[in-house]
Amino acid sequence: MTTTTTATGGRPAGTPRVRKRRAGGDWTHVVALAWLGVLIVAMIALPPILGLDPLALDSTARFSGPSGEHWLGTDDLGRDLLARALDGAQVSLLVGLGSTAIAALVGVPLGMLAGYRGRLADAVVSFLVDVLLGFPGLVLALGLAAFLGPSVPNVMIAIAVPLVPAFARLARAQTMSLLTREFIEASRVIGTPTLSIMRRDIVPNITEPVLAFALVNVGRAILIEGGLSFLGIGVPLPQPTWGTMINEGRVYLTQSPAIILAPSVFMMLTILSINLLADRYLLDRTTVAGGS
Amino acid sequence: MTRRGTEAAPGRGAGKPAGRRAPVTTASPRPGALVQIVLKLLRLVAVLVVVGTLVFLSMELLPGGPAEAMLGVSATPDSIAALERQLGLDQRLLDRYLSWLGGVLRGDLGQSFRNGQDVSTIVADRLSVTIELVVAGQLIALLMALPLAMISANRRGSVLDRGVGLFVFSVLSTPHFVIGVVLIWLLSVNLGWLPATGYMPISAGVGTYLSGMIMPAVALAAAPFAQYQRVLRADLIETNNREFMLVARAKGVSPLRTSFRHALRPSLLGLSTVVGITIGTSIGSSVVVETLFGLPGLGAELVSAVQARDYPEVQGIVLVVAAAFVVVNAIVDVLYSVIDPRLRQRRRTRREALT
Repeated sequence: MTTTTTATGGRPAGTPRVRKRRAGGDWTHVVALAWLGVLIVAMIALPPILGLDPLALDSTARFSGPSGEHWLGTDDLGRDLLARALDGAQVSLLVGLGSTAIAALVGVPLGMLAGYRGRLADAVVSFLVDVLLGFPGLVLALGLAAFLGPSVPNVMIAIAVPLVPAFARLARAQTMSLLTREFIEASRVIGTPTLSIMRRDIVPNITEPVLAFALVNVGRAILIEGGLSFLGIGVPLPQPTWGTMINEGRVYLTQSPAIILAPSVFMMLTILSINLLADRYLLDRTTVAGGS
Repeated sequence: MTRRGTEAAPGRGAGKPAGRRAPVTTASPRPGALVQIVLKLLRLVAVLVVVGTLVFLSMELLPGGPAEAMLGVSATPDSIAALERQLGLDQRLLDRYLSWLGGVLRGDLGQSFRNGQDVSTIVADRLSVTIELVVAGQLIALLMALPLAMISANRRGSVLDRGVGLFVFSVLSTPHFVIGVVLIWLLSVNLGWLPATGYMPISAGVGTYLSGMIMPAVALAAAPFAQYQRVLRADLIETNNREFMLVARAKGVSPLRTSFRHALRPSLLGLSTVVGITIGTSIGSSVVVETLFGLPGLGAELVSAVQARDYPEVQGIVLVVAAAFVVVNAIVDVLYSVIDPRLRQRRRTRREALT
């Protein structure tokens, strides 16, 4: 806040517009944070409070609209849409965070190694990255999910593998640019072991860009998870996910579009919030990824 | 690699008179460029071979091996052994790999488990639909992104720019299948303008072809459109700040003319990079879009093969898609320097500075 005032104070007339534009940016950012906060709180608190069960069938209330009992209405089997959407949120966030974490934990050390060692290590890692990038993300995830078999950990692995190369590339580039800096050079000259240079000098300095990049990838992972579930190859039934809900609701599009609307809105707002936050922290460093 | 090459050139001429060294170093960029292209091609082939090997080995990773996975719950030790013999799985892994590789090189991708059809025939029948879909999607994405990026860049920071920005961001954050379902709900269910599913080949008439193709193409175009708009907007803003744009404006060239004639071409490089990446992701996304709209393309076939655990078909399709993806990326890589002469120029001067 103080920086904004001093900045405008030093500028010529016409600056209020600059401040306003910033305020607009803050506004979307706050909404994004608020949505994620509300989603997480609702995901944890609402089911026990309201006694929501995503699998409970209510044959008296099939295709019902929003009501006091079912806040968002029910689906073709009379299952509560809010309960299912919130249960799906747990899976989506778990898979999104989990697969991003796996990808980062595999990709970042590989990239650091390639960037630090250069030569053979770099050639091998770059080649591996090229091979993995040889598959379109969704097709690779689809193939892996098919071969690994349906379960939550397997879906996480299937989604993590296509995300690895981007992390490796980022870590490699960041490490290489750090190597030219004096403090690393000094550290090498006095004979610090490679591992402690990596741990004490490189890791802390690449953490920030890696975390910002990881945020984008959480969104991307949720999109891929949605795509896999939509195709019926993701998290196994009866666990509801946003993708499966949309797939199941497709048949009843004419009767009750709400079945699809609820998970779609949840999914869109969540990914939009993540992308907005990532965009704010990444600024123009990388483009935010979309699609599925 | 390149560093060693440039060091070698002066090293060779070190013992010779200084007058001789000059022609050697000035001549070095040309063979260097050729060597680079050959190295890139070799790398491309190596990537393809490894991709193929991984696809082949994926079968071996199946629990209990391919035969047991194929037979499912009804498997008995006898039937597994019989099927393994029938499929040649009792041979050594290396022999099987070599015969598989030989088959792939001859265009033989094996037979589908489900109906014994040649996988290469299945792929050939369905490839054109996917190519049509991806190309149509790219065209729509570019046609939408170009004007919106120019408007946003020229009215930077305005309400319009921010509105477009938020719209683009929302599109970017919406999965393809949600956009597809919304399109179906709006245009088919409510308005009844277009059929929800059903693909007709172009031989059935241009009108019927387009009515089946337009919604899937738009659904596929959504995310690429958003990415293109963002990248092009950023590059246009950067170009607008350059001096030659100031000169053009000061000269009194109309805004429309400056944006098309002056600003656009130097701003296309970032876009061309993203197009390369996005074509690849579009091939992936076509899986979802084809399934949703019932298009008989490669992606929809892949999904049904995965669901039926028809592994030879999954292998064959993944291999073809990966090969197409790698080749497209390589072509785009080469195209950069064609699109932007500055890149060629810059590379040469850097080389000269090194030698």
